[in-house]
Order: sequence, then C-alpha cells, then structure tokens
Amino acid sequence: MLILFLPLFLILLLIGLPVFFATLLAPGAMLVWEGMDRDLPLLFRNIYNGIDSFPLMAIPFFMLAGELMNQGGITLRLVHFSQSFIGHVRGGLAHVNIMSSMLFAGLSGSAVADTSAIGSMLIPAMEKNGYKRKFAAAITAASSVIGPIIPPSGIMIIYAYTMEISVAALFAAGLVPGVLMGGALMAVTAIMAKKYDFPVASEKHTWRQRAGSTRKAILPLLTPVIILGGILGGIFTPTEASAVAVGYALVLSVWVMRTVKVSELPAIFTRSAKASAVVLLLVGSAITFKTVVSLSHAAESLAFWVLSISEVPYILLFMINIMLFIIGMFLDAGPAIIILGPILAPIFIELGVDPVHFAMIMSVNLTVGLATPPMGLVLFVASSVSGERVESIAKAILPFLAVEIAVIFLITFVPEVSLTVPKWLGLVK
Amino acid sequence: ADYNLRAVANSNENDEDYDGLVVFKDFVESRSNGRIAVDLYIGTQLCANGTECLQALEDGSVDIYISTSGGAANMYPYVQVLDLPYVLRDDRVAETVFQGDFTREMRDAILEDSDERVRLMTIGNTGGWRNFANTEKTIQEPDDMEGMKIRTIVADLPQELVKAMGASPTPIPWPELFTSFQTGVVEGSKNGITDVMGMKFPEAGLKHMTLDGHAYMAALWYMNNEVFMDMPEDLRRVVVDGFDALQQATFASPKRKSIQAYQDFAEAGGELYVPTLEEKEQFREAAAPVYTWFQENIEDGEKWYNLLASEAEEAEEAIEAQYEQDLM
Amino acid sequence: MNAYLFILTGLRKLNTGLIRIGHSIAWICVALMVASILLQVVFRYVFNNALPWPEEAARALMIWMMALVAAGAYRQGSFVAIEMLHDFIPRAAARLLRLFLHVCALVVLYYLFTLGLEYFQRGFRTRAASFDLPRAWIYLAMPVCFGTMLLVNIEMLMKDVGLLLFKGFASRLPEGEDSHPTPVVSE
Ligand code: NA
Ligand code: NA
Repeated sequence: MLILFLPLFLILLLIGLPVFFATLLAPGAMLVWEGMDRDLPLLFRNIYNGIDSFPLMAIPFFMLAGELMNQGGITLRLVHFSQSFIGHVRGGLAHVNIMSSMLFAGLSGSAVADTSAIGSMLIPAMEKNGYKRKFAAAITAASSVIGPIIPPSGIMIIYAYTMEISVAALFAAGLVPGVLMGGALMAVTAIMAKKYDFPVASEKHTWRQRAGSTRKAILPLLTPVIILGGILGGIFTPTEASAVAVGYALVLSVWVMRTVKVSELPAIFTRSAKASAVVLLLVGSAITFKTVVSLSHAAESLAFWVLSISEVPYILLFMINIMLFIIGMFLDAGPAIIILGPILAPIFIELGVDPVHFAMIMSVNLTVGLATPPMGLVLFVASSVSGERVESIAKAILPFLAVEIAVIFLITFVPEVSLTVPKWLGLVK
Repeated sequence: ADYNLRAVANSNENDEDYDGLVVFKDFVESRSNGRIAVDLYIGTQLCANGTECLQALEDGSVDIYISTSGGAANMYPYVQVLDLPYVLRDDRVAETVFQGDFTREMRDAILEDSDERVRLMTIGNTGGWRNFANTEKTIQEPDDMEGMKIRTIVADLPQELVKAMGASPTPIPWPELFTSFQTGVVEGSKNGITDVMGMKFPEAGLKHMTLDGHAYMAALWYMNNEVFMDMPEDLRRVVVDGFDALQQATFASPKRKSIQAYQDFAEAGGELYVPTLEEKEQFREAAAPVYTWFQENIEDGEKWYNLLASEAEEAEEAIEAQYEQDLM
Repeated sequence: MNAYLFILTGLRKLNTGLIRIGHSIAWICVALMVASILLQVVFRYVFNNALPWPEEAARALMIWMMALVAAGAYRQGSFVAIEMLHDFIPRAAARLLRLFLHVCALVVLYYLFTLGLEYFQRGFRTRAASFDLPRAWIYLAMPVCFGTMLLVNIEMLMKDVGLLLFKGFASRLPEGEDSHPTPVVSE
C-alpha cells in the first residue's frame, strides 16, 4: 500500500525529522517497500526540477529586497511614519506595530522577515512603554502574517507556481484580505486598549511633523507601487518585478539613504541566499512528495472521500478551513500548499469555486498557521527576537488568532473580498 | 497485466494528446487481451516539461511520453527541424512525411543519442498549426510585425523566427501569458488556435490572427526502448499498431477541435486574416535566416533540413500524382 | 576517545572551510542573478530586443546559489522540525532519538548525493537551451549541495555517537558553529 507513505510522513514529522527529509524519506521508503525502485530516481529528479523554475526565482529576490530594506534602517522610517499618524491613540504602539507590519508587507514577501524586522524594533519599545513583553511579541507575530497576504508574497508565488495560475492575479487578490486582516487586528487592539487601559505612545503629531515623517518614508513606500504597478501595468513579469525591487532597494539603501555600506553587501546577499536555499529545497522536496501523491492516487481517493461527505461548496469549504488550520499548526505554508493544493483545488474548482478565490482561502489560512503553536515559525522568531518563551507568546496571541480566524471565514464565504480587485483589473474573469 | 505502461502527457484532458492516449490505451489493452495495461498521467504530476520527462523516460520511471519539438530541443537539438517554418505545405504533406521513413531516421538518431534508451514511436500532431496572433493589428505581411514583442518559449529556433520577422522574441511562462497580453508585456504569440482558445486569450485582447501556418505542431511520441524491446514480438506489434492508431487520432483530433475553436474565436471578437499567396511568399522569404541559422548552429542541421525538405517534396509529388487520378 | 575527537575535529574544520568557500561564491551568484534579470528588462525596453539567455542563466545561478549555502544553513539548524517530542521524553531517549533522526537524514542525503553524481555524468549529453554549455555543469550543483550537507550530517552524527559512547564527551567537544540553532526559513 503505497498510500501508507502519508501516515509514515506524519510520524516522521512528529518525532522531529526536519520537513525536508520527511517529505523525501516517507515516500522513498514506501516505494522501496513496494518494490517500486524504478520510481526512486523520480524523487530526486523532481527536487531539481521543482527548483529549476523562473517563477520561483521571485522568492530569493523578494527576500533579498526585504533584507536590504530592513538593513537599510528603512523599517525605522516606516515605524516613525506609522507613529506620527496613530502613535497618540490609546494602545498607540500596538497600533503602530500592526500598521508598520502592513507597510512592511508591501516591501517583503515573508512573515518571518516582518516579525524580525518589526519585532526587534518595537518589542523593546513597547516594553519600555509599559506593555507586557509577551503581549508585544504576540501582536508582532499576529500582525506579521499580513506580510505574505499583502503582495508581494512568497507563499502566493509558490501557490501560483504549483497550480499554474497567474502570480499577478493572486497578488491583486491579496490586497483587500491583507488590509482587512490589519483592520481587524486594529479593531481588537482598540477594544483591548480600552479594557486594559493601554498606554499612548506619544503626543499627537502636528501635520507638519507628519509631513516630515512621510517625506522620510516616501521612497521605501514607493516600493510596492513599483512592484505592483510594474506587474499590473504590464511593464514586467512578477519575477522581473522582484529583481527590480532588489535593484531599487540597493539604490535606496546604498546610494540614496546611505544606510548600507557596499562592504556589507556580501553578508546581506549570503544571508538571503541561505534563507532562500532552505525554502527552495523545501519546495523541491514538496514537488517530489506531490509526485508520489499522484503515483499512489491519493488525490483521487481523497477527492472521492471529500465529495462523499457533501457536495455543497460552502459546507466543504467550512470543513476544509478547519482541516487546513490544523495542518497549518504542523506544517509550513509552502510545503502544505504544494502537497495539498493539487489535491484540494481541483475539487473546489469543479464545484464552481473560482481558482483565485480558493487560492486566497488556502494561502491566508496556512499563512495564519505560521503564527499558531506548536509549529509556528513566526512564533519561534518572535520568541528569539523578544526573549519571551514560545508558550507564553502562544497564549497571548489567542485573541488575535480568533480575529484572524474570523477574517479567514469572511474571505471564504464572501468571494468578493478577494476577487473584486483582480476582477476590476481584468485579471480574473 | 504482464506489462504496465505508464504514459505521461504534460497537457490536459482537453488536449489532442489525451485523445491520442485514450485511443492508444483502448487499442493496446484490448488487442493484447489485457496483457498490457496503460496508466495515463495527464499534466505535470510526475514531471513537468520535455527535458524532465525525457530524463524520467531514460531512467525508466516513465514508459511513454509525448513532447513537442521545443520540449525535446535541449536533449536532441535536431528535432527542431520540425519547427522550421513553411517547409511542410499542409496537413496532407505533413501527415505523409511523418508516416514515412523520416520518423524512422529520427528514431535511429534519438536511439543513438540516448544510449539506446529513448525510442521515438511516432510523430503526430498536437494542435494544428502555429500562427502569429497579436493584440494590436492585422498582420498581412512580415513588415507589419516590425518591433512587436512576441512571446516564445526559451528555445533558439522560435526566437530566431520571431527575429527574422523583425519582431522581438520575449520569453514568458505560459501561466503568465494571459496577464502579459492584458497588460502589454507582450503583444503577440505563435500558437495553435486550440491553445489560444483553451487559455481564453481573446479575452486578454489577443484578437488578430494571421493564418500564416508557420509551423506544424508536431508531437513526438517516445517509449522507453528497454521496456519496448523486453516485450515479446507479438506484443511489440500490438504497441506499434497502437501508436499508429494514436497517430491517426492525433491527426484527426485538431481538425475536429479547431472548428469549435475558430467559432469561439470569432464570437470573442477575434479577427482572422488569411494571407494571399503573395504575402505567404513574403513570410517564407523573411524566414530564410532561420534556415541558415538551423544549418549553421545545429549539429547535422544541413542533413536534417535536406531530409525534411526532400521528404516534403516527395510527398508533394505523390499527392500531385494522386490528384491526377482523383480529380479526373 | 582521543582518536575519535581528532577525526571529528578534522571533519568540523573541513566543513567550516567548505561552508566558508560556499558562502564566498554564493553571494556572487546572487549578484549575477539580479544583474542578468535586470539586464533582460533593460534590453527589452531600452533596446527593444529580448536577450535569449538571462532567464536560463539566472536559473542556473539560483541552483548554484542554493547548493553553496545549503550546508551552512543545515548546520545552523535552519531546516525546521517539530521538536516537541524531545522535551517530553527522558534525556537518554532523546539522545537516541536524535541519533535515529540523523541516520534518517543520512540515508536521504547519501542517496541524493550518489544519484546527483550519476545525473551529473549523464548531463554531458544535454545542453542548455540558450547558451552553449552542457547541462552537467548545472546538474553538478546538486551533488555539491547534498555532498556538503552529507558531511555536515556525518559531523552531527559523530557528535551524537560520541555523546552516547564516551563519558565527558560534551565537555571536550570544541565550541562549534552549530551551537545556536536559528530558524531562517522565511515565508
Ligand atoms: Na508582502
Ligand atoms: Na504553524
């Protein structure tokens, strides 16, 4: 029974084998067990083939752009910009944290980058301002999942790559859900701020001061305009846009703002190469895993099983959301998308769900999974940035997670949330 | 079954390749009395493109595979001879050529280049003919394409052709092409009508098509040679006959499918232009650098060009001879 | 134990050296990747002429970039795993489990490495589509990637075995670069 590679995979994962090795060992072992040795080379081939991709190249580029921006003290300018507008309200720094995350999301495609950039700056500041450290870490983690929802987004590049749909359409679709997620987090923060009497951060800034902070932040804030405008305006493909973003970030940080020295570039490039290498290998191994899913006909069995429960899209979507949320607790968004996307998406597309809409449901759900225990990457990073234990952040994040789940269901049951912008741009019919 | 064959096509179930495979599967399974079973893997489940899948075929993880000439160009550069523009006049000529010794010659070359691992079984069609289509204007002659950005795959020959027409070849991944038309990253492409309609390109503005028919969309069908040769002769015969049936099916399928596709194209506001004989000659002349490029840059290019040209000429003569009888 | 420590220390130094070399080439790959894609954009707009090679060249550079830093990332502990179980079981059992997991990874890496070498050799039969280079030189990145990861894996494995076999092994272990696992996975 080749299909036993699925439980074997889960066991290996749960006893602590890194995802990369588990996605290769479980199918490999079952193929040998079944005497299907001739299929082993397919596993290896597909790691290489999975990685050798032009669309995927946007991931290292967006990572590098984010890294350059963060190094360039640009995060600081975004935080000051946010603070000059909302720092004076009750819970000011909490709001600033969320708003900065949303702005940073336009520069970076990664939740982890968001957490470490905003967290290392705002968690100490929030603590000094009188917040509990675990609360500061929790709100950083919760809001950083907006990073891959507002474009650019590594997760959506991976989704578009595995499901062969347009990156541009997904980027456009992520705008409203991302802003919605930020708005919802701010709303719950406002309620908490009143209840627990959160501190304000600063005096109300004058419009003159605001103009000053805007002037300082305007160049980095133009990045998303260049990326999205370039892609949606037909100047370049998403991968080219990501390279342009790197070029812009380089010019900005090295020559215009002079926040990065040329001599620092090799180290920055190497760091982003490392982070990309891990993601690329994960993508490669997940593509391999997907191959064995095909060989074992697991997709068909699962589709049959799912459709035997119900054929009403909304009931199924509700269930799938719960399933994805649980999976997101254990698996990173990227591998989860590559493994599950090709199984789940066709079922729902067949039932009449728009492919871009389903992409958003899946991506947003699994992105939120990055901030859930026990396997929440973002939680780990928030913990290492703040020095607070993962467990206590995990507890403090619960109210925010509840809001994010509500937004997931909103995205699920109101397709217009995702589809209005891409429809308006003509990217979705 | 004694023999389980795993057949892969990277397209989808609406494609001509799938029609061919369905015919093949049915033929081979029934004529072998169930001794051969064929499993179809449609799409990119096992491998995603020509180079990958041909390597998987060499490894023995795939038994049967179909690639376009572009898909095999990295491995066997001379297959691009099939992409040479305006060599094959029409379906009848092309079909005669590919049923003849041309395919056998190519089989020998590929066997040799793959250490006897990859066996070309037959050459069929996967989508009719390639035509130039664009979002801007009616193209009547090559000059109309001056400066236009035309999408091609990452392969030399199609890029040379686009350059020869005075246009600018631009590689765009297939899934991004719709958006790229819409936003103007590229203004045109060279595809068959069924692919154009399959991707709903007219909705992205691709509304002007010129039936220049610059390339026959040849489909090369391969089988793992070891798997083939390990079969007893009677089963090899069944497989060979199966591929013959498949070839016929893929010759017929695009003709049938394109009727609806052209109707849909017109309904979507598409405009079709059929170049006059004189204009077609202009296209052929403009394409001359491609022939030169092929012969100079591809190993044995001259041999393959001459072979295809002479086979085409022979086929034309044979068809002329048949006209003499059929028209009288 | 001395001989064992000697070998382990040697392997450590070797790995550190290889990783350092890898890093110093990888960043150049990244720079060239960016440059070639930017060149592609510039040529298309400024000269209205699309270059055929940047896309494929950038892909090859990306694969080499990955191959050259993978071992370093692996040693840092960047390949994420669920490590809950380790906290719940006795320390001795956790050590055995660690050893077992490293053996699992060893099997995978060894297999990937040998197959990678085979494909490298066969790669001389295919050429890149848009420039004149046997694809073998691109495929070579994979055995380099998995070979260097394999060496790191053996280093970690030897450390595990040493901890199981010898008393006081931990105290005599030289300070390594893998002592602070940091997740760098970004999504
Ligand atoms: Na983003
Ligand atoms: Na998680």
